Amino acid sequence: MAAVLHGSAISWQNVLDAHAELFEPVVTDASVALVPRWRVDAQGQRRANVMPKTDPVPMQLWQREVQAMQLHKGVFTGLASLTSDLLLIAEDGALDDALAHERPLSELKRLLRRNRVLFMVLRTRDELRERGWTEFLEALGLPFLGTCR
Amino acid sequence: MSQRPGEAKLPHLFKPGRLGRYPTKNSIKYGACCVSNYNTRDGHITPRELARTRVIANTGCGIITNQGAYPDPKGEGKSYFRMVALYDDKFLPQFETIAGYIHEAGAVAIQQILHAGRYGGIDLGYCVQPSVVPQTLPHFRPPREMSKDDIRRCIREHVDASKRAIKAGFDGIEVTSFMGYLLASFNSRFTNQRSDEYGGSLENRGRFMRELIDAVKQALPEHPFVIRLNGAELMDQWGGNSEDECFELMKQAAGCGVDMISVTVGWQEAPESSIGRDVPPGHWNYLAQRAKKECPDTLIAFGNRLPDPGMANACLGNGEFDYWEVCRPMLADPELVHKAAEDRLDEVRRCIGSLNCLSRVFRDLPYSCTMNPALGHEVEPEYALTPAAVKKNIMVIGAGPAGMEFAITARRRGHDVTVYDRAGHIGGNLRAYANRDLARPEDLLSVVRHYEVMAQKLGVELRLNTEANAKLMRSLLHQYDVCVVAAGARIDLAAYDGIEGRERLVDALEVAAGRLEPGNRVVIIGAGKIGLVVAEFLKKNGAEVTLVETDKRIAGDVMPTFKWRHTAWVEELEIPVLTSTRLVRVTADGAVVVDSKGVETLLAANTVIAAAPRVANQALFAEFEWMVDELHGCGDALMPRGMDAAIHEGYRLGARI
Repeated sequence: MAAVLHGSAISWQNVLDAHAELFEPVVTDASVALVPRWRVDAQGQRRANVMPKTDPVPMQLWQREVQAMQLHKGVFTGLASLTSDLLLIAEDGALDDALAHERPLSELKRLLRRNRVLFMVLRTRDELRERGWTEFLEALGLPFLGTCR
Repeated sequence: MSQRPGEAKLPHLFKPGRLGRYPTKNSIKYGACCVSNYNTRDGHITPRELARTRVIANTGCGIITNQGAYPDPKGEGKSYFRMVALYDDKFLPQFETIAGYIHEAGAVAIQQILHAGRYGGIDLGYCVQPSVVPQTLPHFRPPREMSKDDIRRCIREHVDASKRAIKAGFDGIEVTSFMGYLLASFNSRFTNQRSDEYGGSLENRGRFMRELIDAVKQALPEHPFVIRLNGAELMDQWGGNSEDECFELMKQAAGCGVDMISVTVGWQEAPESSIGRDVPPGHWNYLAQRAKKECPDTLIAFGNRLPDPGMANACLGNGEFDYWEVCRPMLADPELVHKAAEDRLDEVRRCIGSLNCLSRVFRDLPYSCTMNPALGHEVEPEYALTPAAVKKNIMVIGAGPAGMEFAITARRRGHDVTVYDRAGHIGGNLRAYANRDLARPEDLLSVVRHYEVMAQKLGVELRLNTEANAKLMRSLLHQYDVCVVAAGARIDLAAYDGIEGRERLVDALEVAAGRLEPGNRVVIIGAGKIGLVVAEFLKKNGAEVTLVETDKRIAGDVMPTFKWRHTAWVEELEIPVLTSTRLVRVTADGAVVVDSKGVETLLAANTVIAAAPRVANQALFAEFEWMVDELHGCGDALMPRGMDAAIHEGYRLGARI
């Protein structure tokens, strides 16, 4: 059984459009992948998706195109084959909860702090900077998370 | 040696103990809380570090742990640019010096070996881990999986580094297996997804740790082995170990014969606070209690968010743990243990949990301490307090942190010091700020209390309720040799000249100080630290508040460790924030603002508060220039910044005047 793709694609595209300034510096083809944390396998067992290799599960891809950030549907088959720069892994319902909020990106930031969404970095800090992610990372409050607390 | 008065009051803290075959003079362990970043890029210890470690050696602790050294020549274990290395005998001379300092001070010397694993490889562009699990913070390196050969090599390197430390004169070894460092990443389900004998079950995940302990114990059977382990990773929601699993791992370590377990809390990636001042002291003590219960035959050291010697003494008395492990409070005040022993705890400069130490290290800077301006400068004579060559009569304008820090420092050197302030109390804007703080007001207020106590004990004269101006100065001509202007900063209301309705604006500092009561519907212009603190306080007390900020983001002048707290508080309190927006006019109905697209909005309010920009109170410099022999300034009176700069400048000026 496939995992459910969280959140409405149309609405997330609206969020990306509303925050276009955050993604202006991002280089073309750079992307964020959004993957559900769990899937239920054929035996009805709950399985974690974020492994080096996994059965195909649907994912959202926020990809920078020439004009703007564009939302695509994709398939996640594990970390080993993922070419995105950043990965957001969401607990069941977390992305829907964010979308239901008046300010989805702020809610996403809150969900990161509350552990309902996990963030993973797939490139070095310098690469992220060069690829234009600084504004987005700062908007999510990520540079200030971690042990400096 | 006869018992000092405080030792009788804190008998458990000052009770002698034993670590392996080494007696300890008390039950206090100096913990290697974070690396200093004072050393060379290639791992050599510098004179700056040696001067610092001499201070640490003399803190009075029974056990001193020297900061972590990485054990491998490649630097896979190296997590900070200026971290010390112990992979070769070429590093030994300075370690010998440090061990000598510790022994001269009558303490047991422990060297920590720190392989940062998931957070390592700072010069390499990659890090090593049990499995490839990407980082969750953007400032670490991409992972590589360790092979079994890598594991065996890594154990050998730990053994060699441990032998080297003993050769340098240290009595024992400490290995870190917490915080997400290498051993912790093997222990944890989150980062260990291996399918060989080093992964899977808890037994398998702990295998690397057990093999490493065995190898070091076999090589150095006579020397104590301390291991630092998480009582809680705070990563369990993302597949990390539960607390139960953490304690099972502790039992594994105890079963291998470790002499001491140092219990800690949290991974670097954990999304919740563990040691900041929004965590109440004593919050994590239950983890130490459980460790002692689960491993009754192994010494337990603990000190996470336990800064108070009185509380530590009570915990030791209750048998909750065996050694109080303390570090950050002694960055703030290296004399803490001596003051406790001499019943002078009221003189202690408390660690206020600003975490300047960590936030600087994680930005690749040497660590420093808000409360201890001399930290890291021990090697510089300019920072030492020596008797003044010429005793001067000094007046200080302003009893905030800069003025008070200057006053007590100069007084210690023999000068006569009088502090003037127009308020009826000392503390300046800090007092108002502290009273409105959502984290823990008592931490910031402890700074003010410290100055009150020290001013009284040292004989600094206070002239409160006294406005310093030219008239006062004329009446005091030739009474003072020196005037120090430490009058702080104010909100620059003149910056709003030309704004229609400017006269309706209210000063945020007046609101913070409680001299002005705002309405129940408030717009605050400026979302820096003053605006944020006032907004959070007013909202928490029932007002409707909107923040307006010209910058793209809020909290621009807030130190990194508190940026996320303020943004979290603003979100939790549901305070609307308009960024890239500026004030256009103030009317009887509220504030009219305009955003970056030119759209004007009326924000309904019965009070509009200006919380930015700030301007230094420099007028007295011009007024007093021809009225006193020496005129100096320090703190925000020179340039608005904050408490850290105020305290440090006050000290530096007091040390040299």
